[in-house]
Amino acid sequence: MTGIRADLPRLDAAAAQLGEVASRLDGLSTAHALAGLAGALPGSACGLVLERVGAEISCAIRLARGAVDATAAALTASAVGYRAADHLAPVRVGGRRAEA
Amino acid sequence: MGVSTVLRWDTSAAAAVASRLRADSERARGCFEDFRTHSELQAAWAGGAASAAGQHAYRLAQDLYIVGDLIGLLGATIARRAADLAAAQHTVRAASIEAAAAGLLVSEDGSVSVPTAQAAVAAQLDWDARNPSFLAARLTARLTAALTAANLADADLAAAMSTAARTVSVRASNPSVISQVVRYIARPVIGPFVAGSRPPGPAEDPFLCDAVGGLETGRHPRPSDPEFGAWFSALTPAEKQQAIDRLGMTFTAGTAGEYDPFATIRGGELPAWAQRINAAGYACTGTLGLPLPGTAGHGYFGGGSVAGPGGAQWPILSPYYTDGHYVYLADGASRADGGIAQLDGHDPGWHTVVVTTGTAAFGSIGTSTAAATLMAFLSGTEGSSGRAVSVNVVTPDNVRVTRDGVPYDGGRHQAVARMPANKPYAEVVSKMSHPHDELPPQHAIKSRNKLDLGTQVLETGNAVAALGPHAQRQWWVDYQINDDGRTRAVIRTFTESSKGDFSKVIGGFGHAFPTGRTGETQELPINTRYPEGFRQLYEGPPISGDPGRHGRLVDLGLPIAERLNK
Repeated sequence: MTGIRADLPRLDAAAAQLGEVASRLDGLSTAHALAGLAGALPGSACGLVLERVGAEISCAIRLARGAVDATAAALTASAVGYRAADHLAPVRVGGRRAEA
Repeated sequence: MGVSTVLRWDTSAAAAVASRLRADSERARGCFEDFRTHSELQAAWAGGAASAAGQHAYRLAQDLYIVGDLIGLLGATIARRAADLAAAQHTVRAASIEAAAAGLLVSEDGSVSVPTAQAAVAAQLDWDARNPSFLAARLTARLTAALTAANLADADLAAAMSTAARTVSVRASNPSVISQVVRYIARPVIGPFVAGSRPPGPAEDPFLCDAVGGLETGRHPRPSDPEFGAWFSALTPAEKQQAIDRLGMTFTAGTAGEYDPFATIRGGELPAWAQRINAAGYACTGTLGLPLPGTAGHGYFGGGSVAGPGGAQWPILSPYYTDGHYVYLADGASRADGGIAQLDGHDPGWHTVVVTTGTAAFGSIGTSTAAATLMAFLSGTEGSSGRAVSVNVVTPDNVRVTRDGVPYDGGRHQAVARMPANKPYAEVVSKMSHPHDELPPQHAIKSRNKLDLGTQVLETGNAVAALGPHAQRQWWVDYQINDDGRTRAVIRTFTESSKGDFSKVIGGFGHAFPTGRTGETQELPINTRYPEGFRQLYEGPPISGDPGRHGRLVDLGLPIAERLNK
């Protein structure tokens, strides 16, 4: 069971780091920048397309944000599960608490 | 798009946006890289169902990483085109101010006219710089060229953005994959710990399983593969366009240090299909595929190859038309049948995958202009009509450029008569005194649209003005693909240099092709007399595999200059 004990801190750290990834994704302002450029080039053909590509990128980033959140939640839940298994496992082995 | 529209643009905003996008790209790629790492980590620990979840998350992260890349590409595209837009805007503004100062009228389409009250007076004056009509004609040329350049840059940016939007949309909104990812990774994993399990390898990307997605993964043939032509020709038109988009987007021109077409050029013969087209039209001779003098028709000359999209060497070809006296490599205006680029409709179906362009200096030129005699020029002499009245070109044997950009050989400087009106030779005269504040691209860049001659002049004019009194070559490599899968690269050049006291810039268009030695090219003027321009080519080596057919066909007798003066 030492393996689980050794990996759990990494699992916790990964979940925390994914939370940090999510906040970094929130800081992206690509769509806003592209919309600003569209406004700076009135009458141009690229103006409308700039807004569209900004919207698509914004959608992709929102999707990434959701996936990152879901993965972080899964990691946290896994850590909880492993800790529970680690606590119960010695009881299950031969019906006696095993020495670590 | 007219003068007032161009003048309203805030081109400085584009540079700031480009910078912001580059930063966003770095940040997004970092985020997605971390996400991918942790997805792998989760799968490594959990195994079983979680492993599948990790694979799906991995695919998503892989796609989103590409989105991060794409943001960076958009930043680079905007930066490049912003420079073009700013340069065009600068020219429009300067010409408009000059026209207003001279009391001339500027219309929305860029044409400059003399007010009615002055027209009668102008008609009595000599046709020189003091004549308002003369000034109006010069300003009209500048304005219309700048507006054309602005329109092209705008259209190119719109096309790049449209392609990007499609790519992001396809990659990021596939509902079946998204639902699978969410379903798997949202499930808490409480399972047996599998010691020593390893992260899954890169999963097969479901977004790359479409008809042409394998171009990026190697599952489908690349242009360098013999089966590429058969594969490409079997695609639907929409799939072909998609393949062209992907080839163009994945080809990174990089900087001059990373990509220099003149460093990748290899010698060689024309591809077999070009030889067949030539042979079908007339008796061709020489390794470069030129027709006999006096024979009219279309064909290809060239040979060798240059590195291009898809990791392939693309064959270098120049489509041409000859009436037996003149050889034309380009049309003066766009034509419905595709013009000479598609052999006036005899070889249609060519699409430009990407155009790379950049500048190369020939080295410093002193006031003696000694080096200028090595290059092709149009003279700047203006006659009573305001048009160039004499043209100086060089034959291929006296313009040779090493891969280091050093010209050598030659030295002859011959006079050639004016080109016929129905196939206008590009006439280029521009003043060095024109302000050019906007720096030109100093490195290799790529675009999607073929540039017209006016844009070439503008770009090269900017390059020369910005870099000082050095002879400059602006080069363009058009990578093109046919509906039936054939590929070709057309290398166009525009060489400019200041003349004498640097008061004037003179230049000439040409097509480059290999001499047979790696990295070395020679050039032909874009439209030239026949056979003078090709004299040296006819004196080339025998055709490979056919010792009986030799390039030497005609004895020109008198030196070229003497014959022209007769």
